[in-house]
Amino acid sequence: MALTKVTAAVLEPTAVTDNISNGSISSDKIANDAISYAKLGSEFTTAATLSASDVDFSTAQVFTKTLTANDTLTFSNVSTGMVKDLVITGNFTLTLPASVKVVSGAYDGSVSNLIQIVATNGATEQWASISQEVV
Amino acid sequence: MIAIDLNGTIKTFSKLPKVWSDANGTHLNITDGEAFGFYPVITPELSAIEELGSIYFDSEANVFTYAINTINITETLSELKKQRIMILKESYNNLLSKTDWYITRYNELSIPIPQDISNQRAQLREECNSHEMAINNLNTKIAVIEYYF
Repeated sequence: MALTKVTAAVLEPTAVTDNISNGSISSDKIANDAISYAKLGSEFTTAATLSASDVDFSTAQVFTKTLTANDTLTFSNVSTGMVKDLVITGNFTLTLPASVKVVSGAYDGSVSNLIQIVATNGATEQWASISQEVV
Repeated sequence: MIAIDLNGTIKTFSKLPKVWSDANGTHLNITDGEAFGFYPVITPELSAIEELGSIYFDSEANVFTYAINTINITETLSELKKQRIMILKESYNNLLSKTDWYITRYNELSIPIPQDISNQRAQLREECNSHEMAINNLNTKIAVIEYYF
């Protein structure tokens, strides 16, 4: 007898009910240009205010902080290729980990600073460029 | 100017660096240089027979400064006097040359030299002779080198 519609009885029990996080999906099941911004994890799409001094690369894309005193930031969960944005204001001395090499720009305490961090070798080396709004 | 001692090597900067990296991290927007080891550089005033030596940290004054070395003068006293008098005469010759055209005009056109110009030139010659005499009366090399006119 030919089936006219798919019923629960003919499905393997978990074929539909399992979501992707419970199993795996091969790349041929994902169409090109199919992953949208909405599907990205929050570590790529959210901004977080830094209340402490640790920048956890796995938690947000943009980290903001207003310095009220000299401050030393630490980095955690850094992996090669990660790019994170720090938006920092406040006319105080900001210390980044020794693994950070500043490749361009300088911090200006009188305005908001965008410090873009590119992890070029995991936690061992990151390159930073610092810029401000053009006025 | 400021400087910092990096494991025995003193590095100077015209102003606080905008980015400074050390074992404690990469520091941005440094405002308190001394907290990172930066201290002012004081350049001592030198006499004519002195020159700057090596830079060092003066821990009492909390500044970097330079040792002062005395220049070794190889010329004899007589040679120094001769050099100084030559410079003296060149200097006064330059002053006189500004009014030489009055003399040339008088010689060619018989237009009288103004009295104040004549007085001024006479005074310059007198001053030059006076300095030359003073230099010749000096007894030490340092005195000759430090003689100003």
